[in-house]
Amino acid sequence: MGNVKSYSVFKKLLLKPSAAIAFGVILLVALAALLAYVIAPDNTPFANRMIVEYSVKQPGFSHKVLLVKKTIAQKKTPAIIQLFSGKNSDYNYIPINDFWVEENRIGVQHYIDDGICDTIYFPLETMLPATAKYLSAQDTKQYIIQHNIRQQTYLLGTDRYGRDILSRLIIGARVSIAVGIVAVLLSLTIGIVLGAIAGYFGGKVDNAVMWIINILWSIPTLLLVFAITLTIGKGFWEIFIAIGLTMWVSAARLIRGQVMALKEMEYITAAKALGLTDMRIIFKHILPNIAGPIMVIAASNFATAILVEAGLSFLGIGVQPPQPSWGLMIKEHYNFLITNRPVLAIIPGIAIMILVYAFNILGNALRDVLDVKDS
Amino acid sequence: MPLIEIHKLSVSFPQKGKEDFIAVNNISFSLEKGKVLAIVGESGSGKSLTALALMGLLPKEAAIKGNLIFNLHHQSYPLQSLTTSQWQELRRNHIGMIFQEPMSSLNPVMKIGKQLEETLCIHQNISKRKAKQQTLEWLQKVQLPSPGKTYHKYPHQLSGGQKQRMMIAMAMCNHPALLIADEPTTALDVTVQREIIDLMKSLQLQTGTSMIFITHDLALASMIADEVSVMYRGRQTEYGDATSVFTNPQQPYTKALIACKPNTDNKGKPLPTVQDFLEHKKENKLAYSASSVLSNVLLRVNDLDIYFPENSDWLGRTISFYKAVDKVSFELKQGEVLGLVGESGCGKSTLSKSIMGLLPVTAGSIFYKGKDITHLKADERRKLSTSVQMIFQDPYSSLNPRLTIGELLTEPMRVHKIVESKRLKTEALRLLDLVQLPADAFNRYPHQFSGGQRQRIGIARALSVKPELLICDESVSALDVSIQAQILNLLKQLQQELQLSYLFISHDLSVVHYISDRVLVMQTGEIIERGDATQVLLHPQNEYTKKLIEAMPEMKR
Repeated sequence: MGNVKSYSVFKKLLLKPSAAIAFGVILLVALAALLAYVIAPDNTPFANRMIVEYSVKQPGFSHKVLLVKKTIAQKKTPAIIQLFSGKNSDYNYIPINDFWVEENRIGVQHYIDDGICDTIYFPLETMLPATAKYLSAQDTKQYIIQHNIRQQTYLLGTDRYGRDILSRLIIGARVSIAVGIVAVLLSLTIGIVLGAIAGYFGGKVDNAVMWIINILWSIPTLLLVFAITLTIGKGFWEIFIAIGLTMWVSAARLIRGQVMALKEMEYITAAKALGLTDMRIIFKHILPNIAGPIMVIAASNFATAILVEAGLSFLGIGVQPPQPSWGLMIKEHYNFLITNRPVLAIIPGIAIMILVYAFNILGNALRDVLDVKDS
Repeated sequence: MPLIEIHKLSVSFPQKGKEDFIAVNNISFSLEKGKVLAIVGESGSGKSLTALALMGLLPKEAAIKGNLIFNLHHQSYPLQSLTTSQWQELRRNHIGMIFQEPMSSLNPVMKIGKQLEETLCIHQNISKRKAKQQTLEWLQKVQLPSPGKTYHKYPHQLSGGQKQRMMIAMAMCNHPALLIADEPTTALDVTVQREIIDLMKSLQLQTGTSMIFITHDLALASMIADEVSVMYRGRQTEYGDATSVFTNPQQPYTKALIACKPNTDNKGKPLPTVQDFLEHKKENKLAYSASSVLSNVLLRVNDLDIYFPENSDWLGRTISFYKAVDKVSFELKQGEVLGLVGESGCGKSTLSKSIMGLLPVTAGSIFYKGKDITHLKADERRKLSTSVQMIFQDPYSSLNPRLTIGELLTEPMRVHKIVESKRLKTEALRLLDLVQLPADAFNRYPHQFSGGQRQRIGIARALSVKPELLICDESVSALDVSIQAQILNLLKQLQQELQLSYLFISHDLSVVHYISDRVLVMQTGEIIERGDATQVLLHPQNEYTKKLIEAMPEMKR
């Protein structure tokens, strides 16, 4: 595809308001997924800081916590890795209503639930560095307010384990985006190779490929993914591969049809007459000419992959806890739907819906833009 | 009072950020009752848009100016200001239309008798029985074989010519005052074209209908028209009585159109082009020297059979074949131009593809320079492709739209290592120069070129591997006559300069005669006549060849 042409396709795409919005949404989610631990309020790995006292709080909930150093030192990870996989917290978070400093200990009014609290004491040395040992009581209090007291705010509320839903949503976007990318790459690679070969050579090759396609198509997708996960195991990467391995079928079928139509064109005959090799004809002369339909199916496969992953995680054979994924978040909280806390399951549901919808709109817009011949 | 009066008709299309594109510019004509007006022009001349304006079928964005008056039974309809329902009324009862592609105009799941009957019933208030009787009469009138049986056939069971007869019946059965035929015979073979033209002419005389006949073929127009309007780039260059326009054309463009068609007189001489006439160049071109035919045989085809399976039994074994090429033998000497003529479906393209190795051969053999090339391995076949090349019919589909002209030309040279990689560009520019295209074409894409320029690019691409034999499969058939003349001149010139040999395949006998030294005539897979080009054209021996020559539209002078 010529640079000029692809540039103008992109420009035309952005001229459609719906496509521009969809593209913006996708870009935003992708960026959030990439920089998840930088923007997420809770930057522990998998946003897994559980404060059970804060279980199932409404959006906007805000409360004070006391940071108490963990007794076991956490493993140090390099900063660059922290950027991409989060940082283990050195502190335990104790929700408090109030605190006071006594001689060599600190007393807190421990928050358990609204209207319920108890009093616990911590030795002062767990809070203060060695240099601050001989501070006056007033200064000590000041020091603790500055360093050990923090106001925790949960914009989207908390889940049943008292984890920040916003953080889990942002980090969960990684799974959706990654599953889309891996599944699309895998399914398109297999789909293009098999589809192009079947369409181009025809005859027995075509029959063989179509036989595989028809058999795979007769098995329900979820069942097939079950079978594949049973064979290669379940986990983050395995589920991606399983989804990719099932989705190439529709891509292959579409590409086969496109190649069959295109190989009747005179310029393909001309390329054969010029003595070009079959591989060169397929990759240089046929595939660039069906880039449009391939992009459309990539967009729709992306959307399907996100949905299938959410479904699998919901069924419990997808991404494993504590790693957050939108499907898993629904699974963990769908029974709250009939209580007074339906947002727990609705928020990840809406996230899935918006992202899938954006991909489908982008796919449709791509088709509209690319359909116009020679304009 | 004339049936139709067109006064200063202009059709223009708005363009983004540019001035309006004027497709039809200020044309005027009138048509009397019972007369035939031919609108002649090449593609893009605005002739079809003029017809669409008369039918009220212009695209929505088109702006129309001028007066169009349709006079009927002492009533005048101003066509430029009719409402949709008035148009429908007019089209339904008074205007009949025949298009180029008959298949797309017929309903494929309805018996053709029923379709015709339906048309009759909608227009005339008659009983079913009477409608059927009229239908059979019309099938008879358009000379379809055994009307009783044809009545029960479906469109796909008819040949192209028969379908066009059907369309004529449907257009004329309600006695329209005006019949508009837009290139009605372009998709048909010459022999069928002749029959259809004769039929239209006789029906038109019988019924006294007025007709507007749109065509790109001046000779065809001369066979049917009373009056002619010649259009060029949206303007009417010449308009008048048919006989006077054809015998004594006033405008250089009309003269050029008449002169640039190959005929018995201009064989061996370069064809004059429209450019020559518009710039008033004197005809001082030198005649070509006779082809220097060497004695060694370049291509020899022996008893070649190519069969396609037609029916197979329940085990998948083929039980009958369609013989596309049947016991064909011929020789092509070095430096010779061998013409191959035949109508569609005679097997001429199958033959050319099998020589290129694009189709498997059933029996027989093909030799190139004494070497058997019938069943070559893939890599040997690839090597051979630098010696034998092909020029295709359709300049629009024979170039990959995603590659620049530079890429198109350098790719085969790089693959076959014709020149060193650093000289690729120089070589490509030399090829562009050879086919008379500007050097800046190198970085452009095929869609930026016209049909004739694209055909030149196709020729340059074929020449890029330095072949000795070129197979031209209907290479000029899809082009306008004036462009056709330029490409024929180019091919002839290249043949002389580069000592090429051609196997020139076409359905058009006059073109084949013009360019070839010897001619083969092919019918249903067999070669039925062969010989010197002029000899075959002037003194054909075979009945089929005679019929073919008879059917060629010839300019009435």
